[in-house]
Amino acid sequence: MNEQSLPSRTLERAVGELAKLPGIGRKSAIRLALHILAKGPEFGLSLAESIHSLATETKQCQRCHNISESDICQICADERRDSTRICVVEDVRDVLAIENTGQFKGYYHVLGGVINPMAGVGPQDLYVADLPERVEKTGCEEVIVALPATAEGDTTAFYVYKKLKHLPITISALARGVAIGEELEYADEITLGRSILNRVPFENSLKI
Amino acid sequence: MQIVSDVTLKSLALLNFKNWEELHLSFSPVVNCFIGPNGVGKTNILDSIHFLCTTKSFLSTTDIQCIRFGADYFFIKGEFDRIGNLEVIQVSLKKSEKKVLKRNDSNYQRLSEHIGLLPVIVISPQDTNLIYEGSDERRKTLDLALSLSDGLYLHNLQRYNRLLQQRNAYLKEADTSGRVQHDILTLYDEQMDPFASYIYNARNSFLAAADQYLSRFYYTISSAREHCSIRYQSDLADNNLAALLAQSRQKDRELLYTTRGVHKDDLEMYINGQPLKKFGSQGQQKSFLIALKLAIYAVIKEQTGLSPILLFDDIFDKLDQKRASQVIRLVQEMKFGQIFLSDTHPERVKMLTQQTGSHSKFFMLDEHQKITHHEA
Ligand SMILES: Nc1ncnc2c1ncn2[C@@H]1O[C@H](COP(=O)(O)OP(=O)(O)O)[C@@H](O)[C@H]1O
Ligand SMILES: [Mg+2]
Ligand SMILES: [Zn+2]
Repeated sequence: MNEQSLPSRTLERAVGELAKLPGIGRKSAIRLALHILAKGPEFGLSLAESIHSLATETKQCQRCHNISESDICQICADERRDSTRICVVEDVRDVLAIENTGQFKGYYHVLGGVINPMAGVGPQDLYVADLPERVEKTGCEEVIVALPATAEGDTTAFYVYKKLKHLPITISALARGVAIGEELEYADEITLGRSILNRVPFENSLKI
Repeated sequence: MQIVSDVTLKSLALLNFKNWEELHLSFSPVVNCFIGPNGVGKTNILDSIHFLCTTKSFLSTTDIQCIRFGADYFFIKGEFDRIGNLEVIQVSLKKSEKKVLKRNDSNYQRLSEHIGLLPVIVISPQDTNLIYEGSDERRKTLDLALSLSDGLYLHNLQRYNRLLQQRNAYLKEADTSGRVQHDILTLYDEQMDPFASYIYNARNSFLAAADQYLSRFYYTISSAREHCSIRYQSDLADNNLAALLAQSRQKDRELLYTTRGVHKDDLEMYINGQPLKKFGSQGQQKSFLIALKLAIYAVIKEQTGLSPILLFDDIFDKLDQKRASQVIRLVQEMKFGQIFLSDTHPERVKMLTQQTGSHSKFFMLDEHQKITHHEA
């Protein structure tokens, strides 16, 4: 495939920047850039401005490392939440996903990644060192480790567990089981096996 | 004797798979023979069946190499009967895209979920690699057999391998940065340990079970009463992995990789107590390999209750007329499943299937890839 050269250098630059985004190739970048152009200057400026403030004004919450506009994020600032529970997640997207369930009212701790030496990520690159102290100081009684069920997620969960296990708290992990709406026959054996090992009292299974 | 198999391939369709531009075949549930001169594509048909069952070629071809020269995709579709249920499996690959695998029109999220649904065993001239190549060839064969017979094995193996890669990456990184955090290495040692134990126990009991069949099958094939055995070699025979890795940590840090573990396992083959590679004649080696493959077949059948599909490539490469019919008879006595075999000469194949008197289908392939078929 030979790259077609674009008729304008400003366009070329915008396409180059857009193509750096995950999941966006050069073709899509050209389509997006032309779309922005076609929509007119107001649209483009508003987009540019929002990206500008995203880059300059958002901070990271000093307590949980979620994204925030101030030193402490909205979740951490909300005193009505349950201070006895902290949920440890990989990144900000997981906070959003768990918030959307409406099932968790405690606080979060965003690690900012998982341990992955092949990608050059070690524990020192994650926000894990401050977690034990945070747990001790805030009267937390339970830490829920909600990390991906991958080799890297499990390794990181184990690392977090080791850092916390001397504390007088409960450390729990997400239940892993058959997806709702899934036919048992099509569930993979590992998941199905786990679901049988970690079966729950029937009354609990009725809760929605 | 009529065999009712638990897993049978009823029909096969190929598009642009290796030398086949387009091919549609339907099969006998018992014996199917592909007959034709060298190079017409017999092995490639068997390979496409292997592909449907395992998502991979049994030859050392990469997925891309399976696309017919000049084409930009391949497609394989098979209709299987599995314990009375129709299973339609499709595999396709477009150049520069991911391989797609479908079961009854729904995509698999992970290819590994498919492994084990349709057990298969290949016996081919390539099996001599098990004797002459390195231990990874032997582990590959063993791992496939275990993946077909134990639903958790492949997952545990993949986890172990991933953690191993991470541990090795960490050893290299710690060397470059000049500082090692021992708690990170311990973390990997402890994470890998339960997977290693699982793999060790699974390999150990599988090979012990296969060993039970070996001498008997060898005798049926060769009429010779040699004592054949296989022995499993593993670091884990001495100790658990976490302890082994703790012992070898210094060495691992110097060599920058994990020197012990189930990724170093091997399978040793003996005839009358002597290593097969050094002391087996060519004939003995060939008979041994067939006996080994059939023993693996028998263990998969024993453990899953399903008769795998047997792919027997170039059957007379390893066997003369008398022995070939003994093998087929053994296969039928054991109530093995559906057989696909290939050979260059119609006469000897016909004699073979006449002797066994089973319901067979013959596919005669000519140089122009035209196929005529008839049943007996
Ligand atoms: N990707 C491919 N495209 C076209 N032809 C191929 C491809 N891969 C292998 N072949 C051809 O297939 C032929 C070998 O077929 P094979 O099944 O081994 O024959 P047989 O087993 O009947 O002797 C060779 O001529 C080889 O060139
Ligand atoms: Mg061949
Ligand atoms: Zn916060």
